Order: sequence, then structure tokens, then C-alpha cells
Amino acid sequence: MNERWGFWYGAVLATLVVSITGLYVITRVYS
Amino acid sequence: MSALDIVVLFGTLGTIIGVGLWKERGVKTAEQYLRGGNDAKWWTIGLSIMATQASAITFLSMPGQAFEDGMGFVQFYFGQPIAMVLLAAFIVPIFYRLKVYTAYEYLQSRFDRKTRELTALLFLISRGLAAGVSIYAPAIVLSAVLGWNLQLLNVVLGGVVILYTVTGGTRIVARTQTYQMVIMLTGMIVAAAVIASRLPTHSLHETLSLAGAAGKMKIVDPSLRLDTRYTLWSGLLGGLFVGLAYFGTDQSQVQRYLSGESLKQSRLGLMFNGLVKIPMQCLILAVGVLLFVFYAYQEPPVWFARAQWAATAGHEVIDTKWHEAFTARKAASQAFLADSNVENRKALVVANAAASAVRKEARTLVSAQHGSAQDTDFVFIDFVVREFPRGAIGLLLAVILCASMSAVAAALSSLGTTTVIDFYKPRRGAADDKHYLRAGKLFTAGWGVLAVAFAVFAAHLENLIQAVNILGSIFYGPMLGVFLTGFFLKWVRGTAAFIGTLVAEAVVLAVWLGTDIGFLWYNVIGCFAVMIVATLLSARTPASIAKALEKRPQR
Repeated sequence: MNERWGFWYGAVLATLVVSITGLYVITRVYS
Repeated sequence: MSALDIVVLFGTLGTIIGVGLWKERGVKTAEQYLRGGNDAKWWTIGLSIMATQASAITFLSMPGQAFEDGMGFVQFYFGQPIAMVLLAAFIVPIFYRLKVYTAYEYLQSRFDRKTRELTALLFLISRGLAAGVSIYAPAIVLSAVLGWNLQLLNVVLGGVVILYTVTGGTRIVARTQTYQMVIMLTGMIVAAAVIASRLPTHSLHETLSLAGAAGKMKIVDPSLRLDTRYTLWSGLLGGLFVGLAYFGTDQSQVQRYLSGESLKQSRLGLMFNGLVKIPMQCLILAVGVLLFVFYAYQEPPVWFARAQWAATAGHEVIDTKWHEAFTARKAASQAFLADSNVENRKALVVANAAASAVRKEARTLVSAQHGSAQDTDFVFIDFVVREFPRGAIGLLLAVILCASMSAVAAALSSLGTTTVIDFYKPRRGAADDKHYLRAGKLFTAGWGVLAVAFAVFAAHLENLIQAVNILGSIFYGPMLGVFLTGFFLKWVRGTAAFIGTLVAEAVVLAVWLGTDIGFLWYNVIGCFAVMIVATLLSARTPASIAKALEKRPQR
């Protein structure tokens, strides 16, 4: 993994973490 | 259907295919036809990858599944962005370096011809069957809802896809998929907006609360249960392995990014998919949840496959019970929206459970009389044809048919390419470019005819979306295993990998037939089975058995 692509890989993985966290919060609040 | 809907439906499909055929009329070489000509930009690759994965089943079944069981299915996609990153970082560069047409060519350069052909064969079986299901699945639902002739729909839908795929190969598949994916995304946004405008409440909090009281908002399940199909962990780990196998070893996907102008464009296409996949699946599942909330105030049928229900003896008794259960649930929903205190929520949970129990009775009755009892595939389309405004019905039918055509076209094109490159060309040997172009067209057409025949003769499946996913998972684990063995276990030789793949396939079949383990785990089990067996064969007999086995087929 070189640095130039590190940004894109990081963005994709960060989006995944944010998505799962958001969906987990929704699960806890509304279930 | 109104005249406007017919114009929208056939106008959309006709324009996409017409423009595709016109723009790709210049496909003249086998390389353009089989690999795509290496000039695709990242947005074409990204949309094409998404369109290949999104079959009609996605749009028919997933809202129904969310309507019935909530949004937990989205967890299946959690591993996919990780798979995209790993593929872009480690695997796509290898394919680019070797300048392969198919993923299986790599296996010959790393192992031997028999390992390449075994893996290509596993792909041909799984994708060939799935292509048939991709035609049949929407056809059976659309024929039941719209009264169209099932077999005619199978043949026309399959025939149109065969026509343009055989004509333009990989290039026309990618071009039409780009347009089809835009239609699919637009259609689902329109669908969500139409349903949202019809909800009993326009407050997002109240909508989610109503859905939550019925258990529809259990999206992330962090439990460690192996027998629960979708959990956070099965989604992350199982989904990662499915993602790696599907995008890294299934030629219908590999072909999409191998047509890229450069490694950079292919990687960006995969990153695009990794970024938008989960939001897109959330949107499709949210449509199902919104439908559930819509039906909190408007009485739905107890069984959405209406024709099947009408033909079920004794349904009147359950209809009466359903009306009572719905009325009680509506009253409980109204009370909960007026004052969302704990007592009202409890009452709504009880009313939802009572309504679910009546639906279960309906399922038992249908199952006893008709054998199959699955109506979730009808939930969304039933709403579309009854409640959507004119024009929008045509658009949504175009979405479903676009999805079916894009998945089938990618399957046929990749099946044709794999047959030519991995089986025909090594046996035929030297021949001019025109010969392989003709061979590509012939094999693509052959697979198309087989897929249509499969669709015509297929029996009704238990549940469309899961059938295709399970089908894939039976083969994907060993397919991924042999590739990962090639990439990372440098000491493993050809025969060890070949035997490992066969043993892993037997293990996965045994697990499928003999245990209750969720199917997402098959991918993990199959993958590790190849790697372990191949390692054991290599490690225990560095100079004797493995070497002897290596020599045997060469004699």
C-alpha cells in the first residue's frame, strides 16, 4: 500500500466505520 | 399499466440497448470483445461493478425482506468495502502485471493447467446456474403480478440480453450497465420519495419509532451466534470473504475492472463501489421499512402473492382474523404516535406480534396447499403497481428489468470469455483474431441459450435472493482459497492446490448438507480448507509425496 492510495483506502474504511457506528446507534435507539 | 408506463418502460429499455448497440458497433477484435479494450474510466467500472452485483432479485426481494425481518440484511455488505481495499491494494495489480483476460489464467502461471481449469469450471457452474436464476427470478414475480406470460417473459428477456451481449461483448455490457445503474439508482430514490410522501407521519423520528416497535430497526447485531444468518461478525468476516471471492475470483466481476484504462482507473472504480455500496443497500432496505410503516395505517393483504392467496382454500377465515389484527395494530400505532410512552410502545409491540402471528398462519396454510410459502418478493412490486403514480410504475418496472438484464449480460459475457480463454484457446492453439472473436460470440450465445433453458425449466425456489447467495457461497470459499494459496503460500505447488480445492469443495458441501451453520461462513470454511489441505500436502511431503503427485499428471 503506497501513500498515494492510502488516502482512498483510509476514506473507504473510515466510511465503513462511520456507517456501522451510525447504524448501531440507530439500532440501540429504536429497538 | 397505463400507456405512459408502457412508454416509460419500453422507451427506457429500448434507448439503453439502442444507444449501446450504436456506440459499440465498432467492436472488431477478440481483445475488445472478450476483455473490453482497456479504455474504461473509473465511473464506468464502478457503475458496471454495482450493476453486475445488483440483480433484479436485489430490488424485488430486499425491500420485502426488510418489510418482514427488518434491516439486518445490510450487515451482509459490511465486509465488502474491506474486500475492495484489499483487492485494489494486492490482487488487481497482479492481474494487471500478467495482462490476463480471466482471473483463472493467473492460476496456470502460478500452479498448473488442471488447477486453472478446475477453478474456471467451478465458476462456470456457479455463474451458469445463477444466470438462469437471474432471468427466472424477476420473470416469475412480474408474471404473477402483471399477468404476463411467464415463459414468454423468460424467453423475451433472455433473448434481448443474448442479442446485445453477443453483438457487443464486454464493451456493450459495460456501457449498458452504466446507463442501467443510473436508472436503478434514480428509480429507487423515486420509490423512497413516493412511499415517504404516503406515510402516516412525516416525522423521521416517529417513522423509525413505529418501525422499531416492530423489530424492523435491529440493523446491527453484535452477538456471536453462529446459527444467526446475519450478524456484525458474519457480515464483516463472512462478507469480507464473499467480497474477496466474488470480486477477486468471479470472472463476471473481474472482467469489469480488467477493462479499465489503467490500474489507477480500476482501483478508483473499486473504491467508488466500496464507498457507495452500504448507503445504496440501506436505501433499498429502507424502502421495505417505509412500506411497513405505510401499512401501519393502510390495511395490506395478509399474503402479498395475491393470486396464490385467492387460490388458497379456507383463506376467508384468516382474512377476518387479519382484519381484526390490523385494526388493533392501527389503533396501537395511533396511540403510540399520539404519546410514545412505555405503555403505548408495549401495546404496539404486542399488536405487531399478534399481526405477525396471523401472517404466520397464512404462511402455514399456503405452505400446506401450495408447497412453497414465500411472499416477501411480492411486497414491493405489489405496492408499486397499486399505489405508484402513472409513469413511475413504468420507471420501477424498468429498474427491475434493467437489474435483471445487467446481471445476466455480465454473466453471459464472462461465461463466454472464460470458456474461450480457459478451455477453448489452450486446446485450439494458433488461430487468427477473427476466429476467437467468432468463438467468443458463439460461446456467449450458447451460455445464453442454456440460461434461458434453465429459467424456463426452473422449479420455484424457496427464497430467490438467498438461493443465489447460497449457490455462490458453496463454490466461492474454495475458489478464493486456491487464489489466496497462490498469492500468499509460496511453497504450495500445483497438485497440492488442486487436491486442496477438491477437498475444500467436499467439506463445504458436507457443512451445507449436514449442519446449521449460516451460509456466509461457508466462504470462510472453504477458503481455509484449501489453504490448510494444500499446506499439509506440501509441508508433510516436501520431497516425496507432493513431488510424486506433481509428476503424475505430466506423464
